[in-house]
Amino acid sequence: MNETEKRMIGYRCKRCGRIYYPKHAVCMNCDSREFEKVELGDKCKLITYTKLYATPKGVEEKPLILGIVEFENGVRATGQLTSENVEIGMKMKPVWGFLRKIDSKEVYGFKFKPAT
Amino acid sequence: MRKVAIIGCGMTKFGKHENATLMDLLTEASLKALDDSNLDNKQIDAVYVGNMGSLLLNHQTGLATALTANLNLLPAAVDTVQNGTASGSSAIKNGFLAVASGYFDKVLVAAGEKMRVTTGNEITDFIATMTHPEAEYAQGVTLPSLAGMFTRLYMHKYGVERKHLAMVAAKNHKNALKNPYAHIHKAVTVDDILYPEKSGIKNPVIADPLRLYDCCPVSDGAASVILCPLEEAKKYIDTPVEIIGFGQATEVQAVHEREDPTEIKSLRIAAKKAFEIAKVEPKDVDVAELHDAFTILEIAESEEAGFFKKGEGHKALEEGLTEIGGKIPINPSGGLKARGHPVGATGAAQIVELVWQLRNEAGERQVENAEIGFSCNFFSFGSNVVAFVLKRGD
Ligand SMILES: [Zn+2]
Repeated sequence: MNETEKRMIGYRCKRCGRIYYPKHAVCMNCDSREFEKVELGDKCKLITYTKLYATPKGVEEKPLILGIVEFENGVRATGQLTSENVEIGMKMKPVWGFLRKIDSKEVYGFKFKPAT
Repeated sequence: MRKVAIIGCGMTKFGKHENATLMDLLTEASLKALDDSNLDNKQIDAVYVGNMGSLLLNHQTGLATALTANLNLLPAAVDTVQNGTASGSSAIKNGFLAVASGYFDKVLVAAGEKMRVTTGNEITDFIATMTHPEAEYAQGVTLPSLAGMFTRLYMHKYGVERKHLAMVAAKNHKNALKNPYAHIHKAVTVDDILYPEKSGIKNPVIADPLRLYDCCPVSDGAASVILCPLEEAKKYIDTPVEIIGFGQATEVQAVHEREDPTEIKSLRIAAKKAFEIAKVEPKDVDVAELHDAFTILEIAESEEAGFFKKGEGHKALEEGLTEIGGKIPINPSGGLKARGHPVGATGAAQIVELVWQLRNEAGERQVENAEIGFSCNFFSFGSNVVAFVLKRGD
């Protein structure tokens, strides 16, 4: 799959329909253990954010902009933001990219970019 | 369940201990606690040691076994307890339950951390291992970043301002000036913190809107307590302190999954349980030690523990209600902000401070006529919270 085609995935409880990110082994709503993967879509809004100057080992970039976003289905995610010109309530979308190094291994995942 | 008393306590100074090993720190705190209790070594039948990172930071595991041999407490039954930044409280919980159950009679609990062995970015990475591996840690999330995001939300929702955060820091620095064990002995005013270009203090942004003076320091230190059944306590000490309440509760690991990300439900549940068991209410508490790893947390915790209504903690702070001499003094020790935060030791240091307060031995920072104390200790950003209620025995 081409990187631009990667989609952020959540986990929907097959019994009650509640969607989780990250995944859980047991549904917090109905105790079911059956989940299916669902796309979270590309529309989310920024709930809160911070500009982190005291970055951890493995993160070179300073400041590291981190935020919590909420998708249209109510699912939230924490992640890096691609811009520091952001404000609460701003429309964002997930984009794939390099996140950090862990034990000198490069880790990739979704970050969030202003949608406008 | 038997009633459980604290009959001895001790701690090292918190700060940077270049010439002491982690075992030296645990030993110093424990010998002080043993001396304070008037117990004979051979009476100790169990030991619990709380610590978060000795494997990673100090190349050592099994601290309880090593401490027990060092103190000649053999063949006591011992365990090392790891619950992240709440390890100290969890170690005390283990000791409390062991004595309450009737299985063990005299228990030593020690908790310590030696963190000033590496760089700041390694330490913040070490602490971040408490976060969700994929959904938080992989993103570069650290505890200060979670606190920064939480603070921004809190300001947005409840009208908390930077000056309120500075009030927490200024109060706790002031209290720590009267605590010889505190890591930081430095008076700062709210204006010093808010206008660093004028005051000349260094107050760089850590995780916006949080600055250096909103964050606890990285410390070395240890604290210990001795537990025994309440009915025997008077044999050893004039003023035992009873553990009348204990509560613990957990929350989802990734902070963004909380139903309301401005709430700390785990603390609410843990505090409610501790107060129920203790048969007292938040309004009965005379002195509290809260987990102010970040200034915002003292405000939020003062609400979730039940001292103030949600969203009103900063107003209480403004009115001086949380100062020594106020309605409910919070962190007379200086808290994590100024006493310091050797992570695994903190929960035990909170209890040691409360014991001194309830025994009327807290010197210049004494809260007058303190009879009931409350503590809460956080794992990570509150995904596991341990709370205690203590009472001066007669
Ligand atoms: Zn379900």
